[in-house]
Amino acid sequence: MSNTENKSLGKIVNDLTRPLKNHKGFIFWIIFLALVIINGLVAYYGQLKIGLGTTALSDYVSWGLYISSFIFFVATALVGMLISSVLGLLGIKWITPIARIAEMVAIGFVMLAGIVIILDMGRPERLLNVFVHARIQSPIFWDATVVTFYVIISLLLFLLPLIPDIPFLKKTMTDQPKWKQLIYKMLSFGWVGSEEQYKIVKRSMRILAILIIPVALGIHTVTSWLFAMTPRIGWDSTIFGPYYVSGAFVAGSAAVVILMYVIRNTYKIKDYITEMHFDKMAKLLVLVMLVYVYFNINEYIVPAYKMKSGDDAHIFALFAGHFALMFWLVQIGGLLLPTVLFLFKPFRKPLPAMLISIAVVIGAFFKRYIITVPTLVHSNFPADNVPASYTEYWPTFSEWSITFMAIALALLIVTILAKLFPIMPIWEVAHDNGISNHEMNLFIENKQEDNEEVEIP
Amino acid sequence: MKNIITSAIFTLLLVSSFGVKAQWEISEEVKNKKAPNEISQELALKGKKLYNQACVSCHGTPTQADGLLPTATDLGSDKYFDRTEGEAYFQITEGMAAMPGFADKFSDEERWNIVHFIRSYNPESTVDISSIKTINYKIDVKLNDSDKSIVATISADSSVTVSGVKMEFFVKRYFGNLPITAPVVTNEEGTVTVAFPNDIPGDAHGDLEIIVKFENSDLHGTAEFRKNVAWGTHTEYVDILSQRTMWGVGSKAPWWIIGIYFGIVIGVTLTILYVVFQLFLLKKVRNK
Repeated sequence: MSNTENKSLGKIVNDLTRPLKNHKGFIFWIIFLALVIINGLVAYYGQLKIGLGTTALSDYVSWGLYISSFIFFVATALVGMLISSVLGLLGIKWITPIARIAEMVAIGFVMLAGIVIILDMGRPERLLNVFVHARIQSPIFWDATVVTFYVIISLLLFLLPLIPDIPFLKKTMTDQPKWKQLIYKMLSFGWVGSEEQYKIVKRSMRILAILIIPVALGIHTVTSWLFAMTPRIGWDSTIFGPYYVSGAFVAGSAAVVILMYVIRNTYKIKDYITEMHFDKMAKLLVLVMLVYVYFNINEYIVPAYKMKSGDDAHIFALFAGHFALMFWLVQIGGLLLPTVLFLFKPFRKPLPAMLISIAVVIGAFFKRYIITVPTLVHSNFPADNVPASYTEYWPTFSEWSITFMAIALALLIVTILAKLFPIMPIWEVAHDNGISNHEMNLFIENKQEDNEEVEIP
Repeated sequence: MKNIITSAIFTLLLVSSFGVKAQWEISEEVKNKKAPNEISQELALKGKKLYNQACVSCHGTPTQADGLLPTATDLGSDKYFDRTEGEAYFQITEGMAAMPGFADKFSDEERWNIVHFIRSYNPESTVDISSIKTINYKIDVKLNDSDKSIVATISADSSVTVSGVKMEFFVKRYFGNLPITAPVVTNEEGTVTVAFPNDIPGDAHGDLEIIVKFENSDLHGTAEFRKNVAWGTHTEYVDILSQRTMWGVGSKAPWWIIGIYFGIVIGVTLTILYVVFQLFLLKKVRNK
């Protein structure tokens, strides 16, 4: 850490609650998101009116940009499990300031994953049929179940470590609008900071941290099975589960690095999210990217070596044909090059790490496109006289608008959470700075007395 | 405007030139081509079958001039018999204008049989199938349960020979009939004996239907013998749609997947509910 000195509790509370009151420049970000969302809503109105005819989806390519973004959203959301659960259970200390960021990403993106599926429906009013005529044998059914669980558990994992922070918010946010104070009041659950309460919160967090690991692995394995459970070329793979999960960690970790950078600079909390955190996250990215590279090698080299008929056309389209440019940009620019760059210390500094992570996230998005679309371009069965339009797919402006709306909505959820609640758990940061629970309780009581003194006259 | 008229006239000329092109252009080699087999009653009758499948709708029955397509020649008319058999074969094979070629539909031998049939109407032909009167044969069949043999005896109402007639033996299946032997020729008494195979699947009771008939119904009539007999193997028909399978409808899901699914759902839900319960416990323990 650049600042090894222990901070005082007053400074910590002040530093972490200040960004929740100071909205300088914030309005521009909200206007930007609103414009993207309005543009998407206009496009979606057209899609509701005309149907999926406003998209480039057709008989062959029936899964396009929407489903690609669905996998991307689910993938990115998995980082919540990786950081706050896996690393947390391993007792890794440096995650304290970024665990909540990861959890915010998880909530925002997994919620939108569910919504993107509805956006992909030509007749969304028939959504209920999916459940009325559900087949328990279908991976889709399991996917819907496990996404719901992941949303609930992520919300609880966000809420639990927030409870001990609420008294700090109640005391410091007295000058804020009533509705905000009402939210804080509702979420306090009678927290006074007693030992028994800390015990309950920590035990509950531990239970959920363990529970979310199989649920998160389940969500993305089942998502991969939506593809791998069909005998289609390019999807008919036994490693699709771990391939997706490892790819998810890459997308999510990179997304967290970008958010860390943005929050660190706009919230002016460089003493909390330090260069060390970028260094560690970049190293974590190297690890998960190497695992992903390994799965990519297996996924492409094994069929490419055998060149079974059918596979050959697919592999050719990716390596040297229609999709080659995107394929190599994604594989090299979004995966191999970032891995190599992150091996060198200068690239693990905040700004370069953020820039490289942007490349990784964009690569991760188009990687899902590369998984989804090229398989569908080829007919599932031998076919003659196929119209050329069936085998061509490039998303329409309407599709891009709606997809960007989904991304903007996810970012909006993250933004709202980041503006309502401290970006990192005050109490855990306090613990890391050697401040005891008792000291925190005293601090809260003092503050309260101060406030009362102010209010009496 | 002038251009449009010009191009319209040009198009008309082009279209009519196709009609002109539709003249037969047949080389001497084709004309002199001979059928591989001499014309015979049997071959001409085989050709008749094929003719009735593919030709009769346009050309009509030869000599009757009852074809649906007026431009299609009556193949029994004098004008047609100027053609050599090589020419007829060539026309059937290659087609012309509206008439398609049958090179893909019929084998070489079959196309020659059609030629034989048409040419049997030629006044000079040695074969005349129009005079064939179907003889009313009768088939008597004895089914011996002991050794599963079929003994078929044919008899005729007039003094025609009953030997050397080809008989066919089938078992009725879902789509069409399954021959259980190659056609067998009757002996001098008009009898033929066939052993029934042991491995033909029947229904749940082993029942199946045996069919005996003449190979050439044009020559021998349409008499046939049909009987149900329990000579087949017993087949248990299992309605796989009523079973619990991975590929079935939702209500037919296998128990194990239902068990695993609800096991997981209940387990995760209870754990989540426990944590939520803990949240509300916080207020109770605030003074501890």
